[in-house]
Amino acid sequence: MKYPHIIIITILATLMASMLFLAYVEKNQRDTDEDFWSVYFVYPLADNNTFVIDNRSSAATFHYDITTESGIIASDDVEIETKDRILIKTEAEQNAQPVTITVKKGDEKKELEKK
Amino acid sequence: MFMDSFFVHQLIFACTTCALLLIPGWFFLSACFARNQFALLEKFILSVPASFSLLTLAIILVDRFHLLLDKNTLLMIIAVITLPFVIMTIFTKITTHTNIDIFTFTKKQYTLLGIIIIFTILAKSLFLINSIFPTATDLAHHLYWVKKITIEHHLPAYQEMEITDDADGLYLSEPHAIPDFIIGEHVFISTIAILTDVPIISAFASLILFVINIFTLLMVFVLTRRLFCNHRFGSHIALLTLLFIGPLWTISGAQAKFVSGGVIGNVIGNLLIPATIYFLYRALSEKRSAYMIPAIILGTTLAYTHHLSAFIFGYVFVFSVILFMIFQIDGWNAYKKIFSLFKNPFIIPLLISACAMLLFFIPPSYLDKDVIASSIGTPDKSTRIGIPFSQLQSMIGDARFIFGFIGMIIFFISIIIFRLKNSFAIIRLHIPVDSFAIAFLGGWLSAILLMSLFPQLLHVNILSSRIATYAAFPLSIFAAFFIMWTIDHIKVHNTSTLALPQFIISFFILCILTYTFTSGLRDNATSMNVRPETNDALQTFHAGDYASKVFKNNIQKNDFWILKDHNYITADTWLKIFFTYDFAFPFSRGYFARYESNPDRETCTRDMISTPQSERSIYCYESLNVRAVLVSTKQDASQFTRSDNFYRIYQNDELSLFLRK
Repeated sequence: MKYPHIIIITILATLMASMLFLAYVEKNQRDTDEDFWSVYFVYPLADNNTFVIDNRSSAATFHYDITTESGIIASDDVEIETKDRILIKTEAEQNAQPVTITVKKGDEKKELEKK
Repeated sequence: MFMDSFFVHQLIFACTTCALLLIPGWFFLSACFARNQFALLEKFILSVPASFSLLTLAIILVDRFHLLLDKNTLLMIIAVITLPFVIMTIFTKITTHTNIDIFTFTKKQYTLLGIIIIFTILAKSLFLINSIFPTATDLAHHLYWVKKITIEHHLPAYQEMEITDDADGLYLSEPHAIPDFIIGEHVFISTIAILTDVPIISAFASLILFVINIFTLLMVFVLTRRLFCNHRFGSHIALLTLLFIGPLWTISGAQAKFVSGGVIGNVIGNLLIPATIYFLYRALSEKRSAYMIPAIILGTTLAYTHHLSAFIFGYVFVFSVILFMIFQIDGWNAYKKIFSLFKNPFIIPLLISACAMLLFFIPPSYLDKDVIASSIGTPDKSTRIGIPFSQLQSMIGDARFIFGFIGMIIFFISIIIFRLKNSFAIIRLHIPVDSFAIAFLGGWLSAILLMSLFPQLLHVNILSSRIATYAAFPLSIFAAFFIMWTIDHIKVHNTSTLALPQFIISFFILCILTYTFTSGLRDNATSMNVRPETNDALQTFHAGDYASKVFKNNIQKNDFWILKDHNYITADTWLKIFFTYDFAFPFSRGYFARYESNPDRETCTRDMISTPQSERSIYCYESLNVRAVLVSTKQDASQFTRSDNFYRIYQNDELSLFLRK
């Protein structure tokens, strides 16, 4: 093989290898650096208080309270694996508003509201 | 299994990118030029700017005829611009590339070339490990338009709505033009995105820019070799130039930092400027009008891709013409030969078509009298009045700047002596390059130096530090020229006798190389980024994904705007890609200093987050139909949780999304 051919192959091979490597690095950072959890309403604009606990951190037990004007009307503990989420469907009386949904994971607390 | 599919997908993306950057241009050059006019390596490198230009211009033209730019149309366009050249290539008589002397290197030089290329790619990759994750603001702005093209399958009108506060009250204006974006920046990236279905919020755009950046360096190498084709150390100068722009100073300036930062126009402009100079030089020096065709095509693409690069190229061209007029010695004969190039039946029609396309048919967004007026004239900001020498030196790198500057002085003194004595003997002795090479080399560097150091002399009203980044390539060529000029002069002319003892010469070369490597590698080391806040950016993307899904229907009615904060949210600019509704969507609370420095700027975006319960803010919320606000929980959530008018519908570790009642 002639030298120019070798140089061209070297350029293409190193470029392709770098592209694949950097794409993998980006994907890996996306997967391994992700460490948070979130709560959100599924229907924020409707009279439905169904919400989701989305766990992108380590597996844990989450505790939630649904509080309306008449006090805590629903409460439970849920186990959620890493990169898993759980949908908490609310029944008729749980869709009352105003409502406050409090979700705890250990000492961490997050809150949703509808007023 | 997932890993397999990931690698297969990435392999398809990498192959598509490389194929689209190489194949159309390769066959264009093969069909239009005899094979003995380019060395194999030279043609391989030239294929990239040629492919980029052909594809970009073809897609811009096709879009003008309102054809949907979907996968099928794009494949058709690629076939149409490639197949005719493939057929023409097959019927070309000469079947092998002949050896071209100036691109025939020794075994050691080939080895060195391979090592420099590998180290260049590795050094850039090393930097990109910590900056490949998509968080850069500029890149997000560009990818908004790329996403728009992939959704609408048409090239976009660069427009956005704007908050207007005037006698008619506070309202959202009709969409108005944004001259900051130019279509050539987005065509190629959109094509890859459509063809490979790659996710927009990923590393793909940076990887495309990475490939373009590598070929830019190789393009400068090829150009340098051509400009110094008569120089007995031409190969050494080209290799040294590649060393100066490749593994050394590989991050700062318009290199890897611009790749990860998404400064798309600059990165592509840096490829097209030397490529256009290359074809112009060959057309003029070899008196072959066929080279004018790619020069015109590349120049037109440059105008469609980046205003600053096109503007700089314009000045480089004018300076080159002036230098040529000063230093050419053939009198009218030289001009007659240049004008004879236009006798080619393709040149004048092609030039007229390019001008008509640029000025009337599909003018780029920056060809607007206000934009032109704001770029030309007396510099009106402290950042545009020129940078001090010391800043230019630190931007370019100590060794590269010093050697380059001395090289330039030697170069100009030599050609001045040559012009005064009107003797070829001197120029052959000191700067063995022809008058066109003198014009382009001198014009390239002097135009950029004057534009960045003394812009008022040229009536340039553009950020001086940005222009200065363009000086890196010509200064590197002059730095390489200086080193080889010095080595050449250590030897007694036309003999193998050394003017100084060998150990002094070896020590001197060792000092130069040590200084160069120390300076270049120190610059690389200090330019390395720290790992970005990936987890924070992922939370922003998560919130953006949620908001775009739950408010999708409301947003389309134009009565549901979202406001977010730019001060405390990581990668917040990427949120606009999730919605792809209007470039101004979601509204953004900008940096606080911007409101202070510009009294005419609207303040609603600041007030609606900082003091959501104030009268002014309530007026802003109602007038602008702002219904949701995304803020940092730690910094800004408290003013919303205290208010009865807002309630939180989403919360992650960093961010809270509030809805207004």
